Amino acid sequence: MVLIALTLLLLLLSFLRDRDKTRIALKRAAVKFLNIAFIIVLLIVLIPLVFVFLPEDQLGPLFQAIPLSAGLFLASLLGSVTMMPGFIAFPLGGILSESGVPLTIIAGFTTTLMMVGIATFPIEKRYFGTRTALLRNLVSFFLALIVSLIIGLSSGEWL
Amino acid sequence: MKKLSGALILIAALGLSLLFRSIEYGPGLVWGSYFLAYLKDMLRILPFAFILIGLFEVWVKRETVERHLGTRSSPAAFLWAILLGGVTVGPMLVALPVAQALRAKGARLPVVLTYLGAAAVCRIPMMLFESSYLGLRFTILRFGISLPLILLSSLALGRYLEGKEKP
Repeated sequence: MVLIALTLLLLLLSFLRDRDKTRIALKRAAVKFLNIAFIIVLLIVLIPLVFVFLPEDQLGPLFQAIPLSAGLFLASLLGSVTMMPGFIAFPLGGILSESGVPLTIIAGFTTTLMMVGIATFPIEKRYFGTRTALLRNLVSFFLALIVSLIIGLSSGEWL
Repeated sequence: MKKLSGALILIAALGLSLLFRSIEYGPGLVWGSYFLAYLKDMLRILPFAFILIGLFEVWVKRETVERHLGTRSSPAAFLWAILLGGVTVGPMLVALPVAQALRAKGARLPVVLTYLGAAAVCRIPMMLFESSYLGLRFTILRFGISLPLILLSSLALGRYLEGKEKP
């Protein structure tokens, strides 16, 4: 809501200040948007398939049955491949946490979800080049593991 | 070509989700609800984010960005990157174009990487939401540990990649 209001306000100010510049700005915005629109359509159509095959109610028992490190790795892998808005991811995390899944695993999932993106990799590659995109995602993955382990440590889940 | 097929896929997907709703096909409903949620999220955010980026590109001078976020900038640049990341709305899909726009205007790679990391995990509205589901302690911990790590890794990675970029 704030975003929309702010954008419209700035757009109006820009329009009043300089019409041509505003038109150029809008054109560039449109071009950028269309450039990645196709990939986004693919993403929003294909990623939900992951959830069709994912047994959500079995996730809780699953993560409690396997060793923590395996669970963390699995959750991080899953988070890396998926893409989810926060308002779906966090309630999901909350439910899992309440059904007993360790915070380590939830942290791993949410952090990789936000920081690492196999789904967004094509776009990132286009913007920054393969090497940067690859390394950033890799570094972020390990960063997520570290953060999750520390959270788990301080929550008494291991050691 | 791509745009046409993209549009067609989208329309087909919308049609399918309606179909699944009406015949109540279980897996289809699961898919449909996620698909529509994503679609709504994207439409709510992406157009406006791109407009802001367009305005940024047209109005903000390269010199300004360079001075504050470029090679001659002070460490305060990282603070700006974190703050900007904190107020970014939307998923990485939004942060990426913003980061690219910054880079194109002369921001240093370490700063841009810091922004990306901060936009990924330090978004303020998202953290509020997170704490309401996973607890304040969890959020603060995660934030407190992630931020320094992001800074360090972005610095290191950025410097390394910058070195590699000069042909």
